[in-house]
Amino acid sequence: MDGRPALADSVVAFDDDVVLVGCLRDRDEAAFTWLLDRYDGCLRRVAMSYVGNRAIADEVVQETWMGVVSGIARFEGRSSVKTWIFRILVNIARARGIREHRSIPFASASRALEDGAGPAIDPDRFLTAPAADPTGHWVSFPLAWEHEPEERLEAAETVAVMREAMADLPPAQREVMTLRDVDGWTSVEVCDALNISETNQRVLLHRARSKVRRALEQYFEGASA
Amino acid sequence: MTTNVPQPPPEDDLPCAVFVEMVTDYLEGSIPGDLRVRLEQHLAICPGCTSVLDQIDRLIRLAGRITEDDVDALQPAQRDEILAAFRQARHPD
Ligand SMILES: [Zn+2]
Repeated sequence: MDGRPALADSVVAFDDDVVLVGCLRDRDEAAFTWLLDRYDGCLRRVAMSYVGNRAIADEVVQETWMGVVSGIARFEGRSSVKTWIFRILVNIARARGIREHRSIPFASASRALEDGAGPAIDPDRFLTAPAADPTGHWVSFPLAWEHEPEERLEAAETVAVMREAMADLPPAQREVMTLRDVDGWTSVEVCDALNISETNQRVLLHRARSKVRRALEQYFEGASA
Repeated sequence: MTTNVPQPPPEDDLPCAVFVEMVTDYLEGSIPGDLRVRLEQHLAICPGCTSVLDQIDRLIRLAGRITEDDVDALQPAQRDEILAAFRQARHPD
């Protein structure tokens, strides 16, 4: 069963932070190249959510990699390599965002939470007191677009609607949803990289997903009307 | 608006308006056992909340598709520049 080629072994090994950090400290170029190719795209997406401009995002990412190069010797392993790199990016992007007069996503967690606050679903869609049913059940069920044919759900147009809805989110919500759902980070990694609590992370994520869900519902409603 | 929704049995005391705010917590596994059982009992009888849960689950999977084409790839010239910085740092003398 153990017929893996040697190359696959070395790639798997960099997945282990202890191995990776050791190699980076030894200035192993293969380790750094692996890191660069693995995280560059994700760094660009997060940078975009701060600065909103590809050219500036490009500079932020470049500066981040330079920070990684100069900071490797001081990396103490208190967080994962991944979250360490993203903290470097977030700090550079925040400073740059201030310079570009953009809003600062995590200037304060409480402000971020107020930002775009609101229920997941419009309250008018539920029965409430003093209506006949005071228990908050649906007035009418939401359009069951999840049963649309697979090719429709997976269509480029559907993904485009989703991307637009994410672009309209408040920055803090967009950033959490980007890391969690687009880049597949765990909640622990997101909390660590953005320095927010588990609860804040879930609230921001839920608001973001709810708004994107609503945008998709409106899109499918419009298309079926 | 008229009600076109079948009435839930009286033992279901969980409002849909509350359920929809718990979807992410539910998917994250951060709902304690007894409440989780109530959510699951509610899901079994409520097509509206089941839709919302399935839709959120669906959009999480769709979001993974966004990675494919939304940012520029690292350009070779920039890649070379970053790698050159790494090599230079290797020999600080
Ligand atoms: Zn319900």
